[in-house]
Amino acid sequence: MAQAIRIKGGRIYDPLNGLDGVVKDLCVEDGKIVEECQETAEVIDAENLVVFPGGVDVHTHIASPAVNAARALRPEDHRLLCCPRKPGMRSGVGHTIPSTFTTGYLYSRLGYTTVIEAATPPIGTRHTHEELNDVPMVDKGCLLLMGNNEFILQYLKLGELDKIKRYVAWLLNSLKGFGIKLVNPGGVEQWKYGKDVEGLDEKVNHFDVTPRQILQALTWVNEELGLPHSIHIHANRLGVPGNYEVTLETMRALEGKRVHMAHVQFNSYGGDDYLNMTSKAKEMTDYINQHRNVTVDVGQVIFGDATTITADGPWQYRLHKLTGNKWYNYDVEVETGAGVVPYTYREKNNVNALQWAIGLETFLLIKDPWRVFLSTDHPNGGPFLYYPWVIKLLMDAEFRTQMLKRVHKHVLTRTLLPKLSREYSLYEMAIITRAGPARALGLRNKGHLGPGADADIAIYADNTDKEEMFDRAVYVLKDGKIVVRDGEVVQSVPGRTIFTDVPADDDIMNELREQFENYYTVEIGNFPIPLEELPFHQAVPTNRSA
Amino acid sequence: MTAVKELTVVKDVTCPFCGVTCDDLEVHVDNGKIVVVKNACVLGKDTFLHHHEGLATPRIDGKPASIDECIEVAADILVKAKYPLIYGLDSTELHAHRKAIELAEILGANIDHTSSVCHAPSLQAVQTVGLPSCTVGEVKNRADLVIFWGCNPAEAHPRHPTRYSVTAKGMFTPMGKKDRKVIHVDVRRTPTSRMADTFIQIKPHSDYEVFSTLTALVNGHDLDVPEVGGVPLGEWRDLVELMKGAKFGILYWGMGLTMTRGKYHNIVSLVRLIQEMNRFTKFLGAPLRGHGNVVGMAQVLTWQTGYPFAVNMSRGYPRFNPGEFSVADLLGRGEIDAAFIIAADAVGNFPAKAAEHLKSIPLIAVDPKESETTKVAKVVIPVAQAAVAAPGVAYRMDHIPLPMKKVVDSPYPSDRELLDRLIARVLEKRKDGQSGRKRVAGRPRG
Amino acid sequence: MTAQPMEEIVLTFKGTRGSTIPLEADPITPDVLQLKFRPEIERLPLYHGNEQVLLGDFFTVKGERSNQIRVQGDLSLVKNIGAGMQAGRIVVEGNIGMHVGARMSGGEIEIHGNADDWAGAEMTGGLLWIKGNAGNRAGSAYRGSKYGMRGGVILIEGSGGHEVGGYMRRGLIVVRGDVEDHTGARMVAGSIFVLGRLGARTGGGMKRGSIVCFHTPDMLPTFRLTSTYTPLFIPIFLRSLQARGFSVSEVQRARHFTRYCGDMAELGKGEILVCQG
Repeated sequence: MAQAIRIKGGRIYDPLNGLDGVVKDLCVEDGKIVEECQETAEVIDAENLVVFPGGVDVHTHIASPAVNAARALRPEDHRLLCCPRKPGMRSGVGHTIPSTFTTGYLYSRLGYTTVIEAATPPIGTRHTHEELNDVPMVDKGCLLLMGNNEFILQYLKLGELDKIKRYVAWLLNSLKGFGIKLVNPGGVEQWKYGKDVEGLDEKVNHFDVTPRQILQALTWVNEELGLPHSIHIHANRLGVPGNYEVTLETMRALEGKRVHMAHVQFNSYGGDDYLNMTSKAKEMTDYINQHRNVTVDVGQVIFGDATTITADGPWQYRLHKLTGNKWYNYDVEVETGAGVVPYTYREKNNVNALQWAIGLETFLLIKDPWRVFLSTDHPNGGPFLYYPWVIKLLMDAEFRTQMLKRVHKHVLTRTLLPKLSREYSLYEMAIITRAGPARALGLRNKGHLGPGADADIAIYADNTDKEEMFDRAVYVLKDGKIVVRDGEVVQSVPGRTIFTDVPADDDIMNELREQFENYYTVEIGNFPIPLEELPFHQAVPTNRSA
Repeated sequence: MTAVKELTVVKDVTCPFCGVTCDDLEVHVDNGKIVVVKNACVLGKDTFLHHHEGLATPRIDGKPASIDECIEVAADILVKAKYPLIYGLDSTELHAHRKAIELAEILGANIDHTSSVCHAPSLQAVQTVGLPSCTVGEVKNRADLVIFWGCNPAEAHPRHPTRYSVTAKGMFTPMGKKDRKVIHVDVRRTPTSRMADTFIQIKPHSDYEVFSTLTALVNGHDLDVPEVGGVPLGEWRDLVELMKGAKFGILYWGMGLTMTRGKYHNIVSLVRLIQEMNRFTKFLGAPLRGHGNVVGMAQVLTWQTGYPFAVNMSRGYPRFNPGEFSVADLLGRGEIDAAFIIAADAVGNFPAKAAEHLKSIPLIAVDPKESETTKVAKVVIPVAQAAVAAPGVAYRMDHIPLPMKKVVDSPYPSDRELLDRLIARVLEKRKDGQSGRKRVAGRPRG
Repeated sequence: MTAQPMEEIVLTFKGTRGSTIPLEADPITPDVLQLKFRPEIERLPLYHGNEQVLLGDFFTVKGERSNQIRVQGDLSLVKNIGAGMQAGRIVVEGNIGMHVGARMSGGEIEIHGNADDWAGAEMTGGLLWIKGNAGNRAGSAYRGSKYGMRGGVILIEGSGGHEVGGYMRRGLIVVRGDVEDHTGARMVAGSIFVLGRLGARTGGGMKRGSIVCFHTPDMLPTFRLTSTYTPLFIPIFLRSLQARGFSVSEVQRARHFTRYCGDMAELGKGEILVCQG
């Protein structure tokens, strides 16, 4: 087990430790990065290669009841990419909603070693964990959906913030969640009777509370509990022209608090319909640049097939009406909703081209790379398989110029993209795909290559074509084991489920018992997930206990 | 194995019988025997109280054998087969599902489960147009209009009406039945009609026409026909108005739609009706699923292979095509050369032609109890019944997973243990024998 | 080694030696065979259950390097012939298994026998001519796909099964015999001619497109009679079919048609034309 490896002579990009292309050896022992190499260490010759920490995806959808519903919905998508069984590895299907084993292999090939499933309904979290148990190669955690939880809304109505805090702690503790996710706060509750909310101060049906109150209460709880990750928000009015105002308003409402705005591209639209839609990336990024409490992931759009999967039920209904595509909806008692609609982004489509450009503007206009992270909101903006294409767009202004000639002409007049000549460096790329998201998630052992870090390492062959460079890693080490060699997975490792170690509070469970019985349909005793159900796991301490 | 020696009371027990998946049972065990089952319906009670009756015994060609001997012969059969079938998996738990899929992958087999012969058309319809749906708790908390169509929950899912859909009291339905209107549509009266405020009797095989008609009416078209499905158009207009007037409607359907003329087309037209209703109000639908944990098998198969049923692994990766790789079609055309039936009675439930073919090929039956399948199987391997004598996870009809408990001991291995041992033997036999044959499923490919 | 390409490749099926396991013969398309010598053709991989076999195990091969293929024997258990083909020609002398010509985008397939299910499913171009009967879902979609046939022509001289032309988006299907239920299910465009009798629910869920019938089908209640008229294109079209050798006895009868539009449960812009003589 005590495997020691010396990665020899690679160019190291380790932003958390300030290493910008420094050539030096890296030593690995017992799954960790160490100061000194053992003499007997196996040597990986990394001369002329680029060494990055393993990739960290702060926002993806790879396992949840809704993700699995999307798989079941789309046999036509799976037929496009079949992955045969290999010794020690399982078969599967790929493309926009890969099967679990394949998800792990595909992420690993790209050099990713940690991914966060960004939305699981509490009552379906046993399912999410069972799926994640079948996603090999990467460490993974899940964010619990809470922004429309009726118990929370009820407590909020009664002004019992402390009970919200205890309830949230109980949810995280008993379900082995990593953090708190809000999706269209208040809006999904409205959707349960077929409606949505328009703004932050609209009252939510039956509960006499507003999205603003929900946002502020859960952000307070997040900080009170000292969760490693900030509150993680999918703002109201996603996908709708003119939504940048409510997004700005959301950030203002939480001014001064740590906040992560998810797939912000989908929330940066001006105009009042899809014909006159414009980019408001400038307004959004101006705010973000001035407010250091905000981190974002972009939700970059990829041209081609996507599958939209979100807890934002009302948005999915709108998308179904816009496209005529098949529509799956799944409202979850007490907690949340979900919807799935297949979607294809087209270069020549006015809206899609703007979405593509707004994502790139967001990347290029945010000055501090530590606060903007690479995501496609997989598979909403497109599959994670296309991250290398996004990297090329960010690192190669000439390639962007070529793309600008192909996409719908509105991009030229309604966005700043044609004027932006910034190119990301490798160092910055290591920040937005590794160091930044790891820091935002509060994962101290991830996203860097200093002693004590998990030996999650991705090694690439430098190449002027950055898409080719990042398409397949030459080596990937997961916990110090070589799992990818020459772009192919050579060894399957299970990966760990990471969750936040929030102290338990059994009293709140007894207080909840009656409402639970009245409004849920399962016994409260059957709700918590014992640790034995997660064969490979790791608890992350809160900032309170640290 | 040590039996439980004194009276123990186990609470929050999950029932494995149907897709209602009640998890509030209380089971009393006296000296290793289940003596009392509280809260369960008559079907659930039977499952626990009579679980020790009619148990299967390990045997090969009708002669008693040890479990190891049975596994050995089973592995031989499966390794030799070119187009084997793994089928069943409704009365077991998700780790066994996982193992069965792994076995299918190693063998390059076809794998299918009980959905294929009950609600597969519902799954196909979802693949065609989607489905707006919800968990049962949403129905309990909100539904003020419940339509049961081509199903009979009063007899097949006895606690569904009380726990979730008719008399259940919830957040916005504090008066239970008084807050709801219940409609039953079917080709004949059943006990479910008695629970309903209104029963609408339609002609057999006219559901598709009726759903189309209702959708056209919802979309504001008037039709020039006097009646549809044997019911005057006016009554359908009234139903549409009732549906539009509901705050939260739910339509539950059953095998009266999936297994009659039109099959998945019936469900497609139903789903389109529900989807169009959402222009006016909240309206959702769901199939009344379950025997046992059939939903769980569909879930695991979907996350591991991408497809919910009818999966073929003969090329080393999953392929899906109901009609081609679905169990009744594979057997009906006589293509399968060996079958491994686990946690379901195939011979007892299949169409005659499919059952006949099963009897003509090497057949392995894994089941806690004797069945029509064990009667004709070459190898019979008894196992511990999941949710009674083995723990695990079961899925409710609305895809909510619940833990299943072990309440008594069994002298036999659980499904998952048995599959583990069988897989180990299959992999061993792959290593030594099998020279000269190019096995796609086990071979590395670029 | 011959330098000249041969006229035709003839593949004669040796049978499955009593096995009822279907044989998957994906490489049998002109696109794959046209540049290959005979020994290469014999070594092409086919799949028999979970076993990979060689084409030569199941077929005797005559000829090489041609985009004209003749397949002989009872191929009822042989799947995927001509699936995805882009050009060239396949003649099948006998019955053929599932998926013949599925997803084809060009070229011609002529079958002197019956075809099994999914013949020409999701095809985008080319001609699939079935002299016998077709199974279910001819020219239709695989599960989950938004569209079935998107171009090309399917001619069926015998009968068709269920869901002929389901989800069709473009192209033409002509069936001389009878068809079963759900012809043109959820189609969005394209044309289907059925000269024989039709099963239930013709055009169910159709948005646009045309279904031309020569026997009155059971109309769904969601179709509305709009007119009776004399479309000139139908007899012209039928004569052109005759000229190509697809015999049609209905040419003289094809004068007056009643037109129904529907399906009102969907967009309602499809039409079903019913011949009144």
